[in-house]
Amino acid sequence: MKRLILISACCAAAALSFGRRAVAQEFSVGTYGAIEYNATRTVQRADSSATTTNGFNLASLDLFLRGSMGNWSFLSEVLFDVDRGNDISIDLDRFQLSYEVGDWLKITGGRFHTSLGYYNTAYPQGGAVYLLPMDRPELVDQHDNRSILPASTVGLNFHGKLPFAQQRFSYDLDVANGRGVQSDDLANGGDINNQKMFNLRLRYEINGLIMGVNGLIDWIPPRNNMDPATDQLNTLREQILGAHIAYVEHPWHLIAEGYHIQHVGPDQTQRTLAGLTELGYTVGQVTPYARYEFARFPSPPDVFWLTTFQQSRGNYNAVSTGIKIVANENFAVKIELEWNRSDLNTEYRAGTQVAFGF
Amino acid sequence: MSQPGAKIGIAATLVLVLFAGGRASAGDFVFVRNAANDTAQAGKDEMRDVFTGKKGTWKGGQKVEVGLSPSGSAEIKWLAQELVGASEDILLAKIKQEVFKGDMKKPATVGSAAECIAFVKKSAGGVCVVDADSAKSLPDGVAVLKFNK
Repeated sequence: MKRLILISACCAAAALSFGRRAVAQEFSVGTYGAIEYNATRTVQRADSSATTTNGFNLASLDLFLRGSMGNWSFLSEVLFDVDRGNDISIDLDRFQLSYEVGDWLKITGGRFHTSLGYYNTAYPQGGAVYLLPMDRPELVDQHDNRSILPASTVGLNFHGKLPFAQQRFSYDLDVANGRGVQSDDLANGGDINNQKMFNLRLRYEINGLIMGVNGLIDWIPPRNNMDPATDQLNTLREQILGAHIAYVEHPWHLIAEGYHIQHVGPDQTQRTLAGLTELGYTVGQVTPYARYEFARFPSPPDVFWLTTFQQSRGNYNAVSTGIKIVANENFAVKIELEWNRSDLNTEYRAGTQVAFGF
Repeated sequence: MSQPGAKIGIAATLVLVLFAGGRASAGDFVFVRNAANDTAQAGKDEMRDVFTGKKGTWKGGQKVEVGLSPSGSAEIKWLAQELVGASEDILLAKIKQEVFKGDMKKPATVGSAAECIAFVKKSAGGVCVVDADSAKSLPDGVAVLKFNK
Protein backbone atom coordinates (compact mmCIF):
# COMPACT_ATOMS: atom_id res chain seq x y z
CA MET A 1 0.00 0.00 0.00
CA LYS A 2 2.79 2.40 0.92
CA ARG A 3 4.60 1.50 -2.28
CA LEU A 4 1.44 2.23 -4.28
CA ILE A 5 1.05 5.63 -2.60
CA LEU A 6 4.71 6.45 -3.31
CA ILE A 7 4.44 5.47 -6.96
CA SER A 8 1.24 7.51 -7.32
CA ALA A 9 2.87 10.55 -5.76
CA CYS A 10 5.87 10.30 -8.09
CA CYS A 11 3.61 10.03 -11.14
CA ALA A 12 1.58 13.03 -10.01
CA ALA A 13 4.72 15.10 -9.50
CA ALA A 14 6.05 14.10 -12.91
CA ALA A 15 2.73 14.96 -14.56
CA LEU A 16 2.75 18.38 -12.91
CA SER A 17 6.32 19.01 -14.00
CA PHE A 18 5.83 18.05 -17.61
CA GLY A 19 2.41 19.63 -17.85
CA ARG A 20 3.50 22.99 -16.45
CA ARG A 21 3.93 25.78 -18.98
CA ALA A 22 7.17 27.73 -18.95
CA VAL A 23 6.57 30.94 -17.01
CA ALA A 24 8.79 33.94 -17.44
CA GLN A 25 10.57 35.10 -14.34
CA GLU A 26 11.79 38.57 -13.60
CA PHE A 27 14.35 39.76 -11.10
CA SER A 28 15.47 43.32 -10.67
CA VAL A 29 17.66 45.34 -8.36
CA GLY A 30 17.06 48.96 -7.56
CA THR A 31 18.72 51.55 -5.44
CA TYR A 32 17.29 54.75 -4.02
CA GLY A 33 18.64 57.40 -1.76
CA ALA A 34 19.09 61.02 -0.90
CA ILE A 35 21.65 63.46 0.41
CA GLU A 36 20.63 66.68 2.14
CA TYR A 37 21.84 69.90 3.59
CA ASN A 38 19.81 71.55 6.35
CA ALA A 39 20.18 74.73 8.37
CA THR A 40 17.89 74.91 11.41
CA ARG A 41 17.27 77.63 13.98
CA THR A 42 15.47 76.43 17.11
CA VAL A 43 13.91 78.96 19.49
CA GLN A 44 12.80 77.69 22.89
CA ARG A 45 9.39 78.96 23.94
CA ALA A 46 10.27 78.99 27.64
CA ASP A 47 13.08 81.55 27.49
CA SER A 48 13.42 82.47 23.79
CA SER A 49 16.94 81.12 23.73
CA ALA A 50 17.99 80.05 20.24
CA THR A 51 20.42 77.62 18.70
CA THR A 52 21.40 77.27 15.07
CA THR A 53 22.72 74.16 13.42
CA ASN A 54 23.67 73.35 9.87
CA GLY A 55 25.05 70.26 8.28
CA PHE A 56 25.05 67.72 5.51
CA ASN A 57 23.03 64.58 6.04
CA LEU A 58 23.05 61.13 4.50
CA ALA A 59 19.29 60.92 4.42
CA SER A 60 19.03 57.31 3.32
CA LEU A 61 20.29 54.59 1.03
CA ASP A 62 17.82 51.94 -0.03
CA LEU A 63 18.62 48.61 -1.68
CA PHE A 64 15.55 47.22 -3.39
CA LEU A 65 15.17 43.70 -4.68
CA ARG A 66 12.19 42.41 -6.59
CA GLY A 67 11.41 39.14 -8.30
CA SER A 68 8.33 37.63 -9.84
CA MET A 69 7.30 34.46 -11.56
CA GLY A 70 3.76 34.05 -12.74
CA ASN A 71 1.43 35.05 -9.93
CA TRP A 72 4.19 34.94 -7.28
CA SER A 73 6.33 37.91 -6.41
CA PHE A 74 8.82 38.99 -3.80
CA LEU A 75 10.32 42.29 -2.78
CA SER A 76 12.65 43.46 -0.10
CA GLU A 77 13.96 46.83 0.92
CA VAL A 78 17.06 47.24 3.06
CA LEU A 79 17.37 50.76 4.34
CA PHE A 80 20.47 52.51 5.65
CA ASP A 81 19.79 55.77 7.41
CA VAL A 82 21.22 57.99 10.11
CA ASP A 83 19.53 58.07 13.48
CA ARG A 84 19.62 60.73 16.19
CA GLY A 85 22.79 59.27 17.65
CA ASN A 86 24.55 59.96 14.32
CA ASP A 87 24.91 56.23 13.76
CA ILE A 88 24.06 54.61 10.47
CA SER A 89 21.32 52.13 11.20
CA ILE A 90 20.24 49.27 9.01
CA ASP A 91 16.64 48.20 8.76
CA LEU A 92 14.72 45.67 6.73
CA ASP A 93 11.96 48.14 5.93
CA ARG A 94 9.96 45.78 3.72
CA PHE A 95 10.17 42.04 3.12
CA GLN A 96 7.17 40.73 1.24
CA LEU A 97 6.06 37.58 -0.50
CA SER A 98 2.89 37.91 -2.54
CA TYR A 99 0.52 35.73 -4.50
CA GLU A 100 -1.95 37.35 -6.86
CA VAL A 101 -5.12 35.35 -7.26
CA GLY A 102 -6.70 38.04 -9.42
CA ASP A 103 -7.71 41.69 -9.34
CA TRP A 104 -10.02 40.81 -6.44
CA LEU A 105 -7.35 39.27 -4.19
CA LYS A 106 -3.62 39.61 -3.68
CA ILE A 107 -2.17 38.03 -0.54
CA THR A 108 1.05 39.43 0.90
CA GLY A 109 2.98 38.05 3.84
CA GLY A 110 5.98 39.50 5.60
CA ARG A 111 6.90 42.99 6.71
CA PHE A 112 5.07 45.74 4.90
CA HIS A 113 3.77 49.24 5.36
CA THR A 114 0.47 49.18 7.26
CA SER A 115 -2.45 50.00 4.98
CA LEU A 116 -3.20 53.32 6.67
CA GLY A 117 -4.27 56.34 4.68
CA TYR A 118 -2.58 57.29 1.44
CA TYR A 119 0.93 58.45 2.31
CA ASN A 120 2.16 55.39 4.17
CA THR A 121 1.75 52.98 1.27
CA ALA A 122 2.18 55.39 -1.65
CA TYR A 123 5.63 56.61 -0.55
CA PRO A 124 7.79 53.88 0.98
CA GLN A 125 10.50 55.06 3.33
CA GLY A 126 13.47 55.00 0.97
CA GLY A 127 11.86 56.64 -2.05
CA ALA A 128 12.60 60.32 -1.43
CA VAL A 129 12.88 60.79 -5.19
CA TYR A 130 9.11 60.19 -5.46
CA LEU A 131 8.10 62.46 -2.57
CA LEU A 132 7.35 66.12 -3.09
CA PRO A 133 8.77 67.36 0.25
CA MET A 134 12.13 66.20 1.53
CA ASP A 135 10.72 63.81 4.14
CA ARG A 136 7.67 61.79 4.95
CA PRO A 137 5.36 63.58 7.42
CA GLU A 138 5.76 62.90 11.14
CA LEU A 139 2.58 60.84 11.07
CA VAL A 140 4.50 58.11 9.25
CA ASP A 141 8.16 59.20 9.52
CA GLN A 142 10.12 56.15 10.57
CA HIS A 143 13.42 57.89 11.28
CA ASP A 144 14.13 56.95 14.89
CA ASN A 145 10.78 55.15 14.84
CA ARG A 146 8.98 58.36 15.77
CA SER A 147 5.98 57.86 13.54
CA ILE A 148 2.67 58.48 15.27
CA LEU A 149 0.96 55.73 13.30
CA PRO A 150 2.15 52.09 13.29
CA ALA A 151 3.77 52.63 9.90
CA SER A 152 5.20 49.12 9.49
CA THR A 153 3.93 45.77 10.59
CA VAL A 154 4.60 42.04 10.21
CA GLY A 155 1.82 39.72 9.16
CA LEU A 156 -0.59 39.28 6.27
CA ASN A 157 -2.19 41.79 3.92
CA PHE A 158 -5.18 40.97 1.76
CA HIS A 159 -5.79 43.45 -1.04
CA GLY A 160 -8.15 43.59 -3.96
CA LYS A 161 -10.67 45.42 -6.05
CA LEU A 162 -14.29 44.54 -5.43
CA PRO A 163 -15.93 43.00 -8.51
CA PHE A 164 -18.72 45.54 -8.97
CA ALA A 165 -19.17 49.24 -9.74
CA GLN A 166 -16.41 49.04 -12.39
CA GLN A 167 -13.94 47.91 -9.72
CA ARG A 168 -13.86 51.37 -8.18
CA PHE A 169 -13.99 50.00 -4.62
CA SER A 170 -10.88 48.43 -3.18
CA TYR A 171 -9.98 47.01 0.20
CA ASP A 172 -6.97 46.18 2.33
CA LEU A 173 -7.15 43.94 5.36
CA ASP A 174 -4.04 43.64 7.55
CA VAL A 175 -3.75 40.87 10.13
CA ALA A 176 -0.46 41.31 11.90
CA ASN A 177 1.64 41.03 15.05
CA GLY A 178 0.92 44.65 15.90
CA ARG A 179 2.76 46.93 18.28
CA GLY A 180 5.54 45.94 20.66
CA VAL A 181 6.00 47.33 24.16
CA GLN A 182 7.00 50.73 22.75
CA SER A 183 6.72 52.36 19.37
CA ASP A 184 10.28 51.54 18.25
CA ASP A 185 9.77 47.88 19.10
CA LEU A 186 8.47 46.28 15.92
CA ALA A 187 7.38 42.68 16.38
CA ASN A 188 9.58 41.18 13.66
CA GLY A 189 10.25 37.87 15.34
CA GLY A 190 6.97 36.98 16.94
CA ASP A 191 3.99 38.46 18.72
CA ILE A 192 4.80 39.42 22.32
CA ASN A 193 1.21 39.30 23.53
CA ASN A 194 -0.22 36.83 20.96
CA GLN A 195 -2.97 39.31 20.19
CA LYS A 196 -3.17 40.36 16.59
CA MET A 197 -3.66 43.75 15.05
CA PHE A 198 -6.52 44.12 12.59
CA ASN A 199 -6.71 46.97 10.13
CA LEU A 200 -9.24 47.56 7.38
CA ARG A 201 -8.90 50.21 4.67
CA LEU A 202 -11.69 50.81 2.18
CA ARG A 203 -11.29 53.05 -0.84
CA TYR A 204 -13.33 54.44 -3.68
CA GLU A 205 -11.52 55.71 -6.75
CA ILE A 206 -13.00 57.61 -9.66
CA ASN A 207 -11.11 59.48 -12.39
CA GLY A 208 -7.97 59.43 -10.25
CA LEU A 209 -9.65 60.79 -7.11
CA ILE A 210 -9.14 58.42 -4.19
CA MET A 211 -11.26 58.55 -1.04
CA GLY A 212 -10.76 56.16 1.81
CA VAL A 213 -11.34 55.29 5.45
CA ASN A 214 -9.46 53.19 7.97
CA GLY A 215 -10.28 51.31 11.12
CA LEU A 216 -7.49 49.68 13.16
CA ILE A 217 -7.52 47.82 16.47
CA ASP A 218 -4.55 46.41 18.34
CA TRP A 219 -3.55 45.43 21.87
CA ILE A 220 -0.29 46.88 23.16
CA PRO A 221 1.52 44.72 25.74
CA PRO A 222 2.52 46.15 29.13
CA ARG A 223 5.93 47.72 29.61
CA ASN A 224 7.68 47.28 32.94
CA ASN A 225 11.14 48.91 33.02
CA MET A 226 11.05 49.32 36.80
CA ASP A 227 10.72 53.06 36.18
CA PRO A 228 7.46 54.48 37.49
CA ALA A 229 7.90 57.54 35.31
CA THR A 230 7.64 55.55 32.08
CA ASP A 231 6.16 52.16 32.97
CA GLN A 232 2.92 51.09 31.37
CA LEU A 233 1.73 48.25 33.52
CA ASN A 234 -1.51 47.44 31.72
CA THR A 235 -2.39 46.27 28.24
CA LEU A 236 -3.59 49.17 26.13
CA ARG A 237 -6.14 48.83 23.38
CA GLU A 238 -5.15 50.99 20.41
CA GLN A 239 -8.00 52.16 18.18
CA ILE A 240 -7.29 54.26 15.10
CA LEU A 241 -9.92 55.78 12.85
CA GLY A 242 -8.77 57.63 9.79
CA ALA A 243 -9.92 59.17 6.54
CA HIS A 244 -8.01 60.28 3.48
CA ILE A 245 -8.47 61.84 0.11
CA ALA A 246 -5.90 62.01 -2.65
CA TYR A 247 -5.67 63.22 -6.22
CA VAL A 248 -2.20 62.61 -7.60
CA GLU A 249 -2.62 62.86 -11.34
CA HIS A 250 -0.35 65.07 -13.40
CA PRO A 251 -0.17 68.04 -13.00
CA TRP A 252 -2.04 68.02 -9.67
CA HIS A 253 -0.86 66.65 -6.34
CA LEU A 254 -3.35 66.80 -3.46
CA ILE A 255 -3.31 64.64 -0.33
CA ALA A 256 -5.26 65.11 2.90
CA GLU A 257 -5.39 62.66 5.80
CA GLY A 258 -6.68 62.79 9.36
CA TYR A 259 -6.55 60.34 12.28
CA HIS A 260 -8.15 59.86 15.66
CA ILE A 261 -5.90 57.63 17.78
CA GLN A 262 -7.02 56.23 21.11
CA HIS A 263 -5.00 54.32 23.70
CA VAL A 264 -7.48 52.77 26.09
CA GLY A 265 -6.38 51.39 29.44
CA PRO A 266 -8.28 50.23 32.52
CA ASP A 267 -8.11 53.69 34.07
CA GLN A 268 -7.88 56.10 31.16
CA THR A 269 -8.52 56.76 27.51
CA GLN A 270 -5.94 58.97 25.84
CA ARG A 271 -6.67 60.55 22.48
CA THR A 272 -4.40 61.99 19.81
CA LEU A 273 -5.54 63.84 16.73
CA ALA A 274 -3.14 64.18 13.81
CA GLY A 275 -3.28 64.95 10.12
CA LEU A 276 -1.72 66.50 7.09
CA THR A 277 -2.54 68.32 3.86
CA GLU A 278 -0.17 68.47 0.91
CA LEU A 279 -0.61 70.39 -2.31
CA GLY A 280 1.50 70.67 -5.44
CA TYR A 281 1.16 71.64 -9.10
CA THR A 282 3.62 70.61 -11.79
CA VAL A 283 4.74 72.95 -14.55
CA GLY A 284 7.19 71.28 -16.88
CA GLN A 285 9.82 69.67 -14.70
CA VAL A 286 9.13 71.84 -11.63
CA THR A 287 6.58 71.29 -8.88
CA PRO A 288 6.06 73.97 -6.23
CA TYR A 289 4.45 72.45 -3.15
CA ALA A 290 3.26 73.11 0.38
CA ARG A 291 2.45 70.83 3.28
CA TYR A 292 0.67 71.46 6.56
CA GLU A 293 0.72 68.88 9.34
CA PHE A 294 -0.38 68.91 12.94
CA ALA A 295 -0.76 66.76 16.04
CA ARG A 296 -2.72 67.29 19.24
CA PHE A 297 -1.59 64.99 22.04
CA PRO A 298 -3.35 64.20 25.30
CA SER A 299 -2.48 65.72 28.66
CA PRO A 300 -1.04 64.14 30.70
CA PRO A 301 1.21 62.63 28.00
CA ASP A 302 0.19 59.41 26.33
CA VAL A 303 1.70 56.59 28.39
CA PHE A 304 2.59 54.59 25.25
CA TRP A 305 4.84 57.37 23.96
CA LEU A 306 6.65 58.16 27.22
CA THR A 307 9.84 56.35 26.13
CA THR A 308 10.00 57.52 22.51
CA PHE A 309 9.91 60.78 20.58
CA GLN A 310 6.34 61.19 19.37
CA GLN A 311 5.22 63.59 22.10
CA SER A 312 8.62 64.97 23.08
CA ARG A 313 7.89 68.44 21.66
CA GLY A 314 4.19 68.40 22.55
CA ASN A 315 1.47 69.59 20.20
CA TYR A 316 2.75 71.00 16.93
CA ASN A 317 1.81 72.72 13.71
CA ALA A 318 4.23 72.59 10.81
CA VAL A 319 4.21 74.21 7.40
CA SER A 320 6.78 73.35 4.78
CA THR A 321 6.98 74.76 1.30
CA GLY A 322 9.40 74.36 -1.56
CA ILE A 323 10.01 73.30 -5.10
CA LYS A 324 10.90 69.93 -6.56
CA ILE A 325 12.80 69.83 -9.83
CA VAL A 326 12.72 66.54 -11.72
CA ALA A 327 16.03 66.57 -13.53
CA ASN A 328 15.20 63.30 -15.29
CA GLU A 329 13.45 60.04 -14.48
CA ASN A 330 16.16 59.14 -11.95
CA PHE A 331 17.07 62.37 -10.14
CA ALA A 332 15.21 65.11 -8.33
CA VAL A 333 16.36 68.24 -6.52
CA LYS A 334 14.34 69.91 -3.79
CA ILE A 335 14.65 73.25 -2.04
CA GLU A 336 12.50 73.63 1.05
CA LEU A 337 11.63 75.91 3.94
CA GLU A 338 9.87 74.71 7.08
CA TRP A 339 8.26 76.42 10.04
CA ASN A 340 7.45 74.00 12.85
CA ARG A 341 5.92 75.38 16.04
CA SER A 342 5.38 73.12 19.04
CA ASP A 343 4.64 73.48 22.75
CA LEU A 344 8.39 73.25 23.42
CA ASN A 345 9.99 75.28 20.65
CA THR A 346 9.76 76.68 17.14
CA GLU A 347 12.04 75.35 14.43
CA TYR A 348 12.89 77.29 11.29
CA ARG A 349 14.58 75.10 8.69
CA ALA A 350 15.98 75.67 5.23
CA GLY A 351 17.08 72.60 3.37
CA THR A 352 18.00 71.17 0.03
CA GLN A 353 17.99 67.56 -1.08
CA VAL A 354 19.21 65.58 -4.05
CA ALA A 355 17.30 62.31 -4.36
CA PHE A 356 17.78 59.49 -6.82
CA GLY A 357 16.27 56.19 -7.81
CA PHE A 358 17.50 53.52 -10.25
CA MET B 1 -0.54 78.85 -67.24
CA SER B 2 2.90 79.20 -68.84
CA GLN B 3 4.89 76.03 -69.51
CA PRO B 4 7.57 76.70 -66.83
CA GLY B 5 4.82 77.52 -64.36
CA ALA B 6 2.97 74.32 -65.15
CA LYS B 7 6.13 72.28 -64.74
CA ILE B 8 6.82 73.84 -61.36
CA GLY B 9 3.27 73.20 -60.29
CA ILE B 10 3.42 69.54 -61.32
CA ALA B 11 6.79 69.08 -59.65
CA ALA B 12 5.54 70.62 -56.45
CA THR B 13 2.50 68.38 -56.49
CA LEU B 14 4.63 65.30 -57.04
CA VAL B 15 6.87 66.26 -54.14
CA LEU B 16 3.86 66.71 -51.88
CA VAL B 17 2.39 63.35 -52.89
CA LEU B 18 5.70 61.58 -52.35
CA PHE B 19 6.15 62.98 -48.87
CA ALA B 20 2.54 62.65 -47.77
CA GLY B 21 1.94 59.21 -49.15
CA GLY B 22 5.41 57.76 -48.64
CA ARG B 23 5.63 57.77 -44.84
CA ALA B 24 3.45 58.00 -41.72
CA SER B 25 2.92 61.39 -40.21
CA ALA B 26 5.14 62.09 -37.18
CA GLY B 27 3.65 60.59 -34.00
CA ASP B 28 1.62 57.75 -35.58
CA PHE B 29 1.83 54.94 -33.05
CA VAL B 30 -0.42 52.11 -32.02
CA PHE B 31 -0.70 49.61 -29.19
CA VAL B 32 -0.21 45.96 -30.04
CA ARG B 33 -1.39 43.00 -27.98
CA ASN B 34 -1.31 39.24 -27.97
CA ALA B 35 -4.17 38.01 -30.17
CA ALA B 36 -5.39 35.76 -27.36
CA ASN B 37 -6.16 38.90 -25.35
CA ASP B 38 -9.73 39.75 -26.36
CA THR B 39 -9.45 43.40 -25.28
CA ALA B 40 -9.64 44.80 -28.81
CA GLN B 41 -9.94 48.44 -27.83
CA ALA B 42 -9.44 50.61 -24.79
CA GLY B 43 -9.72 54.23 -23.80
CA LYS B 44 -7.15 56.60 -22.36
CA ASP B 45 -8.07 55.92 -18.73
CA GLU B 46 -7.78 52.17 -19.13
CA MET B 47 -4.46 52.34 -20.97
CA ARG B 48 -3.09 54.75 -18.37
CA ASP B 49 -4.09 52.24 -15.68
CA VAL B 50 -2.38 49.47 -17.66
CA PHE B 51 0.91 51.36 -18.00
CA THR B 52 0.95 52.62 -14.39
CA GLY B 53 0.13 49.33 -12.69
CA LYS B 54 -3.42 50.08 -11.59
CA LYS B 55 -4.81 47.45 -13.93
CA GLY B 56 -3.18 44.09 -13.43
CA THR B 57 -5.45 41.81 -15.43
CA TRP B 58 -7.16 42.09 -18.80
CA LYS B 59 -10.87 41.29 -18.92
CA GLY B 60 -10.05 37.90 -20.43
CA GLY B 61 -8.00 37.04 -17.34
CA GLN B 62 -4.53 37.46 -18.84
CA LYS B 63 -2.01 39.12 -16.55
CA VAL B 64 -0.96 42.53 -17.85
CA GLU B 65 2.66 42.55 -19.07
CA VAL B 66 4.00 45.90 -20.16
CA GLY B 67 6.76 46.42 -22.69
CA LEU B 68 8.32 49.87 -22.69
CA SER B 69 10.46 51.49 -25.32
CA PRO B 70 13.73 53.01 -24.11
CA SER B 71 13.94 56.48 -22.69
CA GLY B 72 14.31 59.03 -25.48
CA SER B 73 12.45 56.98 -28.07
CA ALA B 74 9.62 58.44 -30.11
CA GLU B 75 7.34 55.69 -28.77
CA ILE B 76 7.83 56.61 -25.13
CA LYS B 77 7.39 60.30 -25.87
CA TRP B 78 4.11 59.55 -27.63
CA LEU B 79 2.98 57.29 -24.79
CA ALA B 80 3.70 59.92 -22.15
CA GLN B 81 1.91 62.63 -24.06
CA GLU B 82 -1.14 60.50 -24.82
CA LEU B 83 -1.57 58.91 -21.38
CA VAL B 84 -0.54 61.64 -18.92
CA GLY B 85 -0.08 64.74 -21.05
CA ALA B 86 3.46 65.19 -19.83
CA SER B 87 7.09 64.49 -20.65
CA GLU B 88 8.49 60.96 -20.62
CA ASP B 89 10.39 61.74 -17.38
CA ILE B 90 7.09 62.21 -15.56
CA LEU B 91 5.59 58.98 -16.91
CA LEU B 92 8.75 56.93 -16.32
CA ALA B 93 9.08 58.28 -12.77
CA LYS B 94 5.46 57.33 -12.12
CA ILE B 95 6.00 53.80 -13.44
CA LYS B 96 9.17 53.42 -11.37
CA GLN B 97 7.31 54.58 -8.28
CA GLU B 98 4.65 51.92 -8.81
CA VAL B 99 7.36 49.26 -9.21
CA PHE B 100 9.03 50.51 -6.03
CA LYS B 101 5.74 50.34 -4.13
CA GLY B 102 5.39 46.74 -5.23
CA ASP B 103 2.17 47.41 -7.12
CA MET B 104 3.61 46.80 -10.57
CA LYS B 105 6.01 44.40 -12.20
CA LYS B 106 9.00 46.09 -13.77
CA PRO B 107 8.18 46.59 -17.49
CA ALA B 108 10.25 44.75 -20.04
CA THR B 109 12.39 46.94 -22.29
CA VAL B 110 11.62 46.61 -25.99
CA GLY B 111 14.22 48.37 -28.10
CA SER B 112 12.51 48.16 -31.46
CA ALA B 113 9.22 47.38 -33.15
CA ALA B 114 10.46 43.84 -33.82
CA GLU B 115 11.29 43.32 -30.12
CA CYS B 116 7.92 44.72 -29.12
CA ILE B 117 6.08 42.37 -31.46
CA ALA B 118 8.15 39.40 -30.27
CA PHE B 119 7.47 40.34 -26.64
CA VAL B 120 3.73 40.58 -27.19
CA LYS B 121 3.64 37.35 -29.18
CA LYS B 122 5.14 35.29 -26.37
CA SER B 123 3.22 36.95 -23.53
CA ALA B 124 -0.52 36.35 -23.31
CA GLY B 125 -1.12 39.68 -21.57
CA GLY B 126 1.62 41.65 -23.26
CA VAL B 127 1.15 45.16 -24.61
CA CYS B 128 3.54 47.70 -26.05
CA VAL B 129 3.77 50.50 -28.60
CA VAL B 130 4.94 50.33 -32.21
CA ASP B 131 4.86 52.79 -35.06
CA ALA B 132 1.83 52.57 -37.32
CA ASP B 133 3.85 51.30 -40.29
CA SER B 134 5.13 48.31 -38.33
CA ALA B 135 1.58 47.51 -37.27
CA LYS B 136 0.44 47.13 -40.88
CA SER B 137 1.98 43.66 -41.17
CA LEU B 138 1.72 41.93 -37.82
CA PRO B 139 2.46 38.22 -37.57
CA ASP B 140 -0.05 35.65 -36.42
CA GLY B 141 -0.64 35.87 -32.71
CA VAL B 142 -0.28 39.65 -32.55
CA ALA B 143 -3.03 42.21 -33.08
CA VAL B 144 -3.62 45.91 -32.74
CA LEU B 145 -5.29 47.20 -29.59
CA LYS B 146 -7.35 50.13 -30.81
CA PHE B 147 -6.78 53.25 -28.73
CA ASN B 148 -9.90 55.35 -28.20
CA LYS B 149 -8.56 58.75 -27.23
